[in-house]
Amino acid sequence: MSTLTALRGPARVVVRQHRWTLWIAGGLALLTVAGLIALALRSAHVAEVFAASECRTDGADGNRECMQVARNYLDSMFTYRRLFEDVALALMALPVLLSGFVAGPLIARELETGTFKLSWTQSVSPARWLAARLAVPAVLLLAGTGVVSASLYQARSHTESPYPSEWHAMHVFSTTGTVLAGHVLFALCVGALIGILVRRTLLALALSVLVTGAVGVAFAGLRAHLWPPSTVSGTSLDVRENIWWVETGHLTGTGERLSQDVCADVSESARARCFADNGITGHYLDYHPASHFWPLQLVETGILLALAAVAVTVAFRLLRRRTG
Amino acid sequence: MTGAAIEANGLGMAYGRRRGRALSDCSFRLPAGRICALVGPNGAGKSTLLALAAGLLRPTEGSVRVLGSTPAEARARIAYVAQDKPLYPQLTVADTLWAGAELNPATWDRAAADRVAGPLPQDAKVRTLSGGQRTRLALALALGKRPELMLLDEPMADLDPLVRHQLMGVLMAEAAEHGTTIVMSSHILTELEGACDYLLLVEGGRVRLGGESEDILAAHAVLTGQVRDLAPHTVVESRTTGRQLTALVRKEGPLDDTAWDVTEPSLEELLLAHLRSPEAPALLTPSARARAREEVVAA
Repeated sequence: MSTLTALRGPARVVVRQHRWTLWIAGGLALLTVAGLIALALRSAHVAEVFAASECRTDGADGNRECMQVARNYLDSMFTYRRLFEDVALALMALPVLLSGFVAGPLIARELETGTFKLSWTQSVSPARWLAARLAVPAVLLLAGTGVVSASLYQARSHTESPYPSEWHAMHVFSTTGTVLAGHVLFALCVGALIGILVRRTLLALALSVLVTGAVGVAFAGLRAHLWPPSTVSGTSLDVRENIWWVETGHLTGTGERLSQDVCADVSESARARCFADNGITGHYLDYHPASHFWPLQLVETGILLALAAVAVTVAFRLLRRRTG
Repeated sequence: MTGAAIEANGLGMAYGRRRGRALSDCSFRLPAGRICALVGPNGAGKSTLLALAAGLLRPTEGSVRVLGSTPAEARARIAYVAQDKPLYPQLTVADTLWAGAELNPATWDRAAADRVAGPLPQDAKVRTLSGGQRTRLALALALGKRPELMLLDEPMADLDPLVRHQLMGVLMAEAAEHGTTIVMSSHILTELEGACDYLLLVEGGRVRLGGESEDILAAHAVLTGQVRDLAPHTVVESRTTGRQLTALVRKEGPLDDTAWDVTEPSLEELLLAHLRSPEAPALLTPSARARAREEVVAA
């Protein structure tokens, strides 16, 4: 509790120094939530009207007038899904912007312009100065992204869509669960470290954006491998619904895995022959069932938090070594 | 006042290999309650010394203790105004004073800050202020903190003579009322003469002169007379015109005033003589000598 009261002064000063950024960010968050609510209501209405028309999207109604009605309905629902995706993409980009802001304007600018000499000679130690600069964006952003991603989830699942958002799609997985919070905290701590290391506003901003962006891309590519997948194999694969395909390929009689590319470019008639030549007796599929959602989320979040902890520890050490 | 406001022992500071050393083997003591002029040419190490005492830098050698503890521990009791008067440019004058109160909740003295910041336009953004106005605001923050030690790096450089005089008056009143120790650096001595009762001359990263201004002056004399041996006195600087010799010496015994015309040097003469004669030995009066490290630990 005493640390909290000790952070009160510097935290309030940070808020006052960057109040325009906060107003703009808060305004954008509110607009986004309002937009999502409007979108959810609109898509529910469109779906309701379509259901009342007794037309079907698969043409099973046998009514020719329904073709246009169904097309309009599908177009609308596709647009809504695209809008949901755009919001999700913005949320995914947020940690990258955040780390640039923390590294550049929040920290490196004080070191570059010399205002740190003012900040560090009040009754607040450099460590508390840094702590306030981490705590304020952490609290505001965790709350803000929490509200927006929860609104997005609610809005997306409010209406049943002919274009469902699958749990493992990148823009869905990245903006549900705990992963987003992990990326936010990682971005914050890396931004702080780079700001203190680099001490040049623009350079720190650019470097931090680059590092956080690269880490984001790396996780998007590797996250399927953060938890051991389930496997099905056999001569014909019984593919279930709602799963995340990780890898599929051929199996030989000895159980050896072969790439999917083997025999991929031979004609249908020659395939059996090709399979026999390669000793292929069956196929396999590595996949994540929906039950792997939380293990995958928590492992990724855990790795991000560990990296964040390392970055923030180094940042505080550097600051301490420099100022004594 | 018995304590030391600043005590440096073998203090050294190097900024990386290329830029060389700003301070080396710097030892001195500044007793509490003094108004100290920290003088020396540009690049002598004055700013580095003040930044080390303010806890903004960590020394690469030796140590500095401030108000009996480390600079970091004494942070709440020190005010520091850097040479470039850094302030948050996006805040207004009123916001800056509010920030001073927020960041120094235990000691903030609104009235003391207002005495200096009063004439400033309260709603003006800091980035629109003139150099003199920035100095005023920076000093207001320092005074509002109600520190025991004020470290002011070239505080008066941006001010016109009238304002300089007025702000010096405020500082002196503060020091007199609360026993605040003030260290002011300048490369223009006349800016500080008269206000300061203690002197530190820093050159080449070392203290060349340190002590009460009066004692330092009294330890020297200007001798004028016929050319002859000046022993046993230490010659700081001498000049001959024909058979006439004028010398500024450090007294090493009674002066023979039958042979010499003896006058006391002005502070400016004394400092210039030392700056022109780098080989003159350093002089620290007893109160300005750092105690040996063992004594400091024992005390």
